[in-house]
Order: sequence, then C-alpha cells, then structure tokens
Amino acid sequence: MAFKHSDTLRKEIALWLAEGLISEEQAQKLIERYELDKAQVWYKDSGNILKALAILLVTMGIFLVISANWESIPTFGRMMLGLVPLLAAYAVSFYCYQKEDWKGVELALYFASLVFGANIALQSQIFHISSYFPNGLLFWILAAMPLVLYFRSAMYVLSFLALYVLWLGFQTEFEQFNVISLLILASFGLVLYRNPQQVGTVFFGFALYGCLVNLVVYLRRDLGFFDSSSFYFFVSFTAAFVLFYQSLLLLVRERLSEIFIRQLSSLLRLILVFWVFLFTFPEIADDFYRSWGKATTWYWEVYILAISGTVLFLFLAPRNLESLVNWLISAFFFATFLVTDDSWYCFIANLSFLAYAIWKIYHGMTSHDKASFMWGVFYLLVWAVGKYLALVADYATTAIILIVCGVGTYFINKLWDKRHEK
Amino acid sequence: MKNKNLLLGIIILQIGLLIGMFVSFFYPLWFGTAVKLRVGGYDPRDIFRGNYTQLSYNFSNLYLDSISTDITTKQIFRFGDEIYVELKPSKEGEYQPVGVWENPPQTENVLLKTTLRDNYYNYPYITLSAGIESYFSSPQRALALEKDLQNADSLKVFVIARITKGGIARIERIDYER
Repeated sequence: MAFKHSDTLRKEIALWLAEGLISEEQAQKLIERYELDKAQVWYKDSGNILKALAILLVTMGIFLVISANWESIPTFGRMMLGLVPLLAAYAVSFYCYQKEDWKGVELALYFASLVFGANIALQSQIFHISSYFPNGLLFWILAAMPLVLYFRSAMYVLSFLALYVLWLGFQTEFEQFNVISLLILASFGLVLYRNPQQVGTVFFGFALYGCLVNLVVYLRRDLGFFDSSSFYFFVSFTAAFVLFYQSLLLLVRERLSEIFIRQLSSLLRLILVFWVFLFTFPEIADDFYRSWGKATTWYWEVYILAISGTVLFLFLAPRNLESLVNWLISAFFFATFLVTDDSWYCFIANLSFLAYAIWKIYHGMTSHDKASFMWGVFYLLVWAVGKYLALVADYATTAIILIVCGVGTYFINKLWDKRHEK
Repeated sequence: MKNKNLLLGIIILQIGLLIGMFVSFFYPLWFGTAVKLRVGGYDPRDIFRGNYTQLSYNFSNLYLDSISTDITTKQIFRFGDEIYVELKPSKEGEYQPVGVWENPPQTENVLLKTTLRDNYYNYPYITLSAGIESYFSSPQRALALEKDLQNADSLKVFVIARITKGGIARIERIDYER
C-alpha cells in the first residue's frame, strides 16, 4: 500500500478524472482503496513536521537568550529582544501573503505565535512578576487560539495542546480551575473533529484527561470529593476516563485511518483489561477499597459510564458488537463500586476478566478473527499465571484450575484448527 | 484560508494583548508609593524566564493571633483568594505588617493586595503572596544575591517596591544596608 494517503495519487486521480481516463465511480473506488479521503499518517507530512520542529528549536533558543537576562541593557532595548523576531515574523507572513505562499504565511504566523510566548516571559522577567505565572501561559494560548482555529494544522494543534496540558498541570497543582479551559478544550475538539489528525487525537486524550482531573481537583474541597491523601481515586478515575475516551474516538473513526483507530483502541482496551486484572488479586482489591472513600465517589463513576454509554450506543452499537461487549464488561466491573459488601469486589473482577477472555475467544471463533481469538487465549493464560501467584483457596484447587486451563487451551487450539484451518 | 482582514485582526489582537500586559505590569512603577521591605530568599530557575531569586517577606507567613485581623481560624480560603496586608513604616523606614484583612478597613497605612497560598482550619497561620516574590536576574547575580540573603547577620537586604492605591505591587530595585 505504498500509495496510501498519497497526495500525488490524489492529484493524479483528479487529473485522470478531468481527462476522462477514469469514471467518477472508479475514482471513488481508488480513493477508498488508498484511504485518500482520510487523515494522513503523521510521518507522511515529514517536510512540514521538520519545518515546524526547526521553528520550535529556534524559539527555544530565543527563550534561552531571554533567560540569560540582559539586565544591563535598558528596558526598551531588552524588550526589543522579543519584539524584533515577533514583528519580523508578522512581516514575513505579509510578504508570503502577497506572494500567495500560504504555507509560508502559516509557518511565519506559527513562529509569531511561539515568539509571542517569549514576549510574555520577557515582560514578566523585566518587571519581576511572580504572581501566578500560569496566567502567562493562558494568555499565550488565548493569543494563539484564533490561529489554531484558522489554520487547523498539526503543528498548531500539537504545540498549543501541549502548552494547554502544561497549563492544566499548573492549574491542578494550585487547585485552580478556569472555565476558559473548557472553551479552549472545546475549540481543540472542534478543530480535530473537522480536521482529524492522528497524533492530535492522542494529544487531545491527554488534554481531556488533564481538564477533567483539573475540574475534579478543584471541586474536591467543595464536594468533599475524596481524601486528598489517597491517589486510589485517580486509578479508578483514569480507568473510567479510558472508557469514555474510547467512546469519543467513535466520533472521528470514519475520518481517521482504520489501522490507527484499531491500534489506539487496542491500546486503550489493554489498559482497561490490565486494570481489571490488578483487581483479580485479593490484596490489591482489599487495599483499594479500604483506602477509597466509596460512599462519596461512586456517583462520578456512574456519571462517566452514563456519558460513555450514551455516546457508544448512539454511534457504535448498531455497527460494532465487539466494542459494545467491551463496554458492557467494563461497565459491569465499574458498577461494582455500588456494591457495599467488600468480599464481592475481587470475585467480580475475576468474573469480569474471565468473561472478557472467554468472549474474545468465542468472538474470534465465530467471526474467524484469529487476532481476537489469540488475545482471548492470552488473557486466559495471564489470568492463570496470576492465580499461580495468588492462589485460589489453596494449592490443590489452584493446581486443578491451572491444569484445566492448560488442557482447555490445547483443545481450544484443536477446535480452531478444526473449524478454520481445514 | 485567504482572508487578509481576519489575519490582520488576529495580529492586532496579539499586539494589543502584549501592550495591555506591558501597561498592567508597568503602571505600579509610575503611580505606586515606594515601600522598603526586608527580604530573605534562595535562587531557583524558571524554564521560560531564567534564573531568579525567590524572595520571602515579613508578611509572607503570618500568625493571625499576633496581628490585627478580621480573619478567623474557622475560615477556609482557596488558593488565590485575595487578602490585604496593612503595612506601616517603622522609625527606620522599614515597612512592617500590622494587619491582615479579608475586607480591608479605611486606613492611612499602605494596603498591599496579596493572594492566599495556604491556610489551615483551626490553626492561626496564613501564607501569602503579593506577586513580588521573584527577582529575575542573570545567573551570576542571582547566586550573588542568594549569598547576600544568607549573610543576614552582617548585611540587611531590602526590596524597594511600589504599591498602588489598589494594593498592586511591583519591585523597583534591591537595596542593601550593612
């Protein structure tokens, strides 16, 4: 698939169509075959990535020049250190505009947006400003957002999403929340919805997570949300978030590469499965539930499940049974937070994990999907090895379970061969 | 994509933001009252702005039971809440905190607007920041200042700051007394 996402092929097809060499229908078939209507794989845009990286490195150099602190130079002269590159970038953008070099305009204004941040840092250095510096980052992001929305390109989205996550980190550290953060996140979401990008989608996941954590930390004191000494809540919160993010991916799955969506979904699923696996160990489950103030936090789990469930049912259920089952099993596990009897938690985690493994095997068998089948077998073996470490009842019972698993795996393999290989 | 006026508007917005920031940073130095404050501190690095000396003042950490205040130990504030510190000059001209207020009274003393860093329920201790806790300088000068601040027995280090009527402070310079 050397022509996949190829710009050259896209242009050629348009030319063939115009010259009447191929029909509309044939052109559409070619476009679908080589996924020319979907977001490009990130590394295929290497020329622009390298230019953006070059600009980023130059800007970092400017930040270091400013950091050297030229305090012997009068204030006006020091301000020129930041203003000259900024004004030069604006001038270059207008020059490129006159020449109708749109890529040049985009790159020049990208540089201007980065150097704008250097000017904020420079001013606050000159005037010795220490009052809540994260506001400087916020102004930087706000100044760049119109250009992010205007150009919608990966270099803008990735750079300012990264800056946004950094700002959220500061906000969370100081237990601050600014409602503007939701607007910024929504703007990034809109850009990525209209112009899907692979790496941007991953970055957006981090930004969404950071924003939700920021909100939760801020609300913590008012709602008696959780004990600040406990990080266990975040383990649970993160797992529920993965579920939610997986549902959100469905909104852009049609416009991103199928392989990318599959790989990202697999990774997210693996995180969830690993998390449930942890709770198949009684010591971890006990420790978690003893330390966790479940009485005040369960409703957040239900809330997140409700959102992710709604999104999933609306956009996916009719088309993808596998994801639906993934969600149902995870939901079943998360719903255990509503259970008040502690002894059930570990049992439900084991049941969820086994049910998922067996369903993967069954699904693989019936749909002739060897990958799904092998993942199911792998999960089953991982569970069995876990039981070797944390015995079920006693040695003899665990030994029987392991032997049954081993024999079962052998026969499952035979069954696959019988059904599909012949 | 090719909307010249929109691009021009964005550029004007960015320049306007920078000018606004400059004015807000600079106006306390024009209109503020000069005050002399004793400081201590150390020298870290900021990833965007370089080396600076982290300064602490005599109002940075206050015991509520040793100062006039309308704040009770039953109140819990959030980081960033505004608290006013009332500063009065001593005979030597050094400004000292004489009151800390959530709702500042009418007074002839200088009122400094600070933001809360920490306070604890049922404990009469409060940590404040006035936005003048960082003094940016070259790495060499920041280290030298840190050493000066550590020699508190032989050398007194002061910050000369300007405070507006609204309580906003900016550092003007560092001053020494042997």
